[in-house]
Amino acid sequence: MDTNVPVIGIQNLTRRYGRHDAVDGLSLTVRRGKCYGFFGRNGAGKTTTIKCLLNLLRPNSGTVRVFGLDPQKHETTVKARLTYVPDQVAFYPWMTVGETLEYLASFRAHWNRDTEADLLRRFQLDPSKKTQGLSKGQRTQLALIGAICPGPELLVLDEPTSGLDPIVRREFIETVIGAYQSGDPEQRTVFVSTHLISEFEGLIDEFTIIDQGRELLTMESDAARNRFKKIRARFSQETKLGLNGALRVKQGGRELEVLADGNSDKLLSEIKAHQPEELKVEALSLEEIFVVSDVLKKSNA
Amino acid sequence: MNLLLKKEVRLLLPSAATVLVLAIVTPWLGRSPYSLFAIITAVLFFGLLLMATSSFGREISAGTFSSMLAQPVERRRIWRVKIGLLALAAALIFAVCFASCFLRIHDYWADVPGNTGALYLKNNFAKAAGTGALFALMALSGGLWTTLLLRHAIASFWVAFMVPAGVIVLELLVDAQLVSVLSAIVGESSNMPGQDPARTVIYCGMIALGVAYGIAGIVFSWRLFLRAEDAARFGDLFSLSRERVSDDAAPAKKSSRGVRAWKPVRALLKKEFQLHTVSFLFVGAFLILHVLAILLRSDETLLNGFPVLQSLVQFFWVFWLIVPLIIGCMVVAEERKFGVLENQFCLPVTRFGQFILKVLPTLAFGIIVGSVLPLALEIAASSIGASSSGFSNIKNELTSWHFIEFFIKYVGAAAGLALVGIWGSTLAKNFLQATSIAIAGAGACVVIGTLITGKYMFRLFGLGLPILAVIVAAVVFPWLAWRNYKFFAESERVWRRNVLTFAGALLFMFAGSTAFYHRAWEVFLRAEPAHGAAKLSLENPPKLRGNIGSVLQIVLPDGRVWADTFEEKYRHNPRVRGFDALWQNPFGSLPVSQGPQIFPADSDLAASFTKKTEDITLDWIREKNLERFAPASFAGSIYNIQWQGYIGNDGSLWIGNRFDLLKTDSAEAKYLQVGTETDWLGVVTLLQQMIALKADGSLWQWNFSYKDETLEKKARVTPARLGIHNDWVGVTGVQFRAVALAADGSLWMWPQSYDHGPLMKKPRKQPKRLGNIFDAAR
Repeated sequence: MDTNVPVIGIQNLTRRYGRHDAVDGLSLTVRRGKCYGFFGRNGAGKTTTIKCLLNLLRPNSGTVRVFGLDPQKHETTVKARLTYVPDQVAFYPWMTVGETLEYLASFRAHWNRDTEADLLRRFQLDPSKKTQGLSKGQRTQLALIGAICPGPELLVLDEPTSGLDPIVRREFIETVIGAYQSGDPEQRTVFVSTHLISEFEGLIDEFTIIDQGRELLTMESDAARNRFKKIRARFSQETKLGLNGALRVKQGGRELEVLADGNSDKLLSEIKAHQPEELKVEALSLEEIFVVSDVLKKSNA
Repeated sequence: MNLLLKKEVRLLLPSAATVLVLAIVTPWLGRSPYSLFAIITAVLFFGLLLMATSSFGREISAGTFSSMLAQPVERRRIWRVKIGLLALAAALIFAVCFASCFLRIHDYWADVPGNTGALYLKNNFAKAAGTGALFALMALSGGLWTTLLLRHAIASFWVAFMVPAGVIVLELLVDAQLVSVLSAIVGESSNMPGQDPARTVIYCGMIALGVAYGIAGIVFSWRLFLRAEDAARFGDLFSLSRERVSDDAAPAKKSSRGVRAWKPVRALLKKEFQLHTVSFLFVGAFLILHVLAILLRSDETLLNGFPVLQSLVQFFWVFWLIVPLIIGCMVVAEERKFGVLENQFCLPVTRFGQFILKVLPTLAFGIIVGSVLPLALEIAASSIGASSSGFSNIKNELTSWHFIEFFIKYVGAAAGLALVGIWGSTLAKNFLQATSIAIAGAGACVVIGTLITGKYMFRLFGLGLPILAVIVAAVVFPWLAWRNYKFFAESERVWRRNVLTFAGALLFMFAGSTAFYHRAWEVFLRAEPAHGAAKLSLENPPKLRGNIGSVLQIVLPDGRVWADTFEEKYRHNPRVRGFDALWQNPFGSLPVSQGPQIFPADSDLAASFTKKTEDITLDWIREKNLERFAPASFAGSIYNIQWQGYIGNDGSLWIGNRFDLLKTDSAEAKYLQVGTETDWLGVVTLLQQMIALKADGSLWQWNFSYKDETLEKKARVTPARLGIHNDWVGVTGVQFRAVALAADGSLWMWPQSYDHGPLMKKPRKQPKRLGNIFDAAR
């Protein structure tokens, strides 16, 4: 196994539905052992990209490689090394929870029974219950168990926490994903597409934000936190500041909030020149970066 | 248009359009409409059942049922719109269907008003329409209540079929007992209802039962809909394979970490088995119904006067062909409906492997249940004396080629329907959609099959077209099913591929068989080779005589005679062989010598041939009072017993029926001139051809079709040039083939109209060179 080969490599991926470009020239690289966030608004092209990775859709142009292999040509080899949890989870309605896991295990060379039992207990899922009687959240839990028990090299998650209650969501993210990755941190990779970015804040190593099928921003999380800063200042009286280069400036009365894109030191010195009563600088969360990406897009345009 | 109504129209349109087309087309399929009423009743029943199931079933499958109920619209109004539209569509289809039947019956027997078959159908038309209406009501009612109760398309379809069929069969069986009891009370009488009071009462009871079922079903559906909740009663839970997971067997305690559980084939096969569980259950019920139908058959008089029921019971085995179609329709569409197809494709098993593990069990199940099982039942029925009229001697014919051929066709039909179902399933998002697509596909195949085996098409394309069509269908449907399955997410491409492939397949079938039948490759073959230097001429032509047997004789201008024989076994590759006939009697066979020979003009044999033949011919002409025609005309006359061509003494060409052996002596001889030219020198009459030699040395051919049955029509046919040369000096026929002699002494033979093996190809256009008559002199 060549550990230098990216787990996922996408180059200029384009996928059209009729005349609409769902994904338009997207490129990204996911390195082994990372938890990679894939963010974007509804209809940005996240699910389409994931389906191209899994050969559920064929790209119109560009190349897609998973473990360095073309998923169209080496479909089974690729899929033997990854698991996928879709945004719409479904199971055969006549099967029970236990039968479903047995069914999924039938296709895997390795299946961790201990993990299965542990997760069934944590999620309080009854193995004898028919899948048709499960709630949306319970179906997602079952899908997650089915995805983690084989111990895949790559775990592809498409909106995995939608439908989960806050307790299970935290349990899932901290325990399940964390435990999965920590089982073999050098080898196990997570590729997660989600809206609930704040929930994954501590796990994401690197991320890409896409919009209308195009890459908007790709960064390592730490680098992003260093680059994007939020400066809050309070003045003794209403002060008008002409802050050039700020990503966004919000001023109301004596309060000032400035978002800085890599130029926080410069902006900070300008603000300090006006002698604020209180000054606070903090890194943006990934969710906040996602929100301001809209501003980035406008400024890029 | 009201939006609610518009939505309902859109919902019902695919199935209604499919059923409407079937209702119009079905009466016109098949050679004769004797079983028309039974077939049309079955089509109406299943078609309307599909429509009734679609009305609510498509809402349930698409997951819009709950949102429909959540709208601020009164449920009664929704019901009125749905049912009103359904009833309207059903009434339209019913009316169109029986109008089509009426036209078909009228068309088929337009020329034979006294035909008993026509009278039978005409007399029973009203009764058949009544029975059809009853079945339509039961189908609509059954489709509605089962869908709303079970919320499971396939189960609804089966239950809606089984319940009324079971009620009718059981009711008839009870009738059989009651009739005997009541007849004993009211006295001996006829078997015909209407004449026998006991039977009339019972049959009226049966109709009342059907009507009551229909009305009760609609009322029940109405109540179910008004009280409908967003919870399935049975949902998709139709599965036999249920593993009890006890504490001991719980996955947690089952094994240790890292167990190898690799058994994908078993898991996939088991899943397929579970998918078809609902069909297994209903196949069992179907089996019981078939047995009851066989019991009904044992009393031949029970169904007298009820043509539709009689035919349905007689041909109950045909209904088994529905099973392969239904299981085929389930196979992919149901997985798409469940939303599990994407997950399946993310498993580390090749898509082709998954596809094969779907198709093979489905095909096997379809063939066994759709054809082998019903045939086994019919064989058993035959042994207890309750044979279907379609299998009257099945017990004795088990090893006959006739039965084997039927068995192959029946198994082929079951396999074909399963494949069409699978194909429809790969295009659809649920079972109902798949059924509509598959029925449309199967219907299109039947229509195309009927058209291409029809006499008109057959003459254009030959037997190659139906054979090619079967091969193309056997390749195209599985191939498309596989491609649709593989790229199921790309619906636009999938539909485009299907449309283009079918268009391409049709084009290939027609173009391929046309090219083959009409020997397109002959365009690239060299034209007729050039003839050698002329040794004979039309100024002093030789006389040719062939006969219906195998003798060809030529009297050369200098009095020599050339003779040879063509044996039947050289039909497709005739060659000069033995000399076994002499020309003293054109109808007889004569002594043999080896190979073609030329006899010297002064030899006794040659003189005898010539003199005797000419004498016989002239005597015969005088006897038949045909002096206006040249003796040379009669060379080819013997090849057709109904009509012949003649050359007039003025060089005109005639066609006549003087030799028509099928006519009585009183039949008047008729002769018609063909064209106005007067430069004809010789003519030969074959089975469906006439070939004549012109004074300019060219040959002309008249090809007659089955439509040119009268002399008048034959005389109007336009001739075509035969061959490319202008140096022909004589023409005759041997063994129904035209043989012409060129000026260089070469003999050429054109094949006859059916010289093309199993009707795969037309006869070759180019003549075959048989040899040169002067070569025999060496």
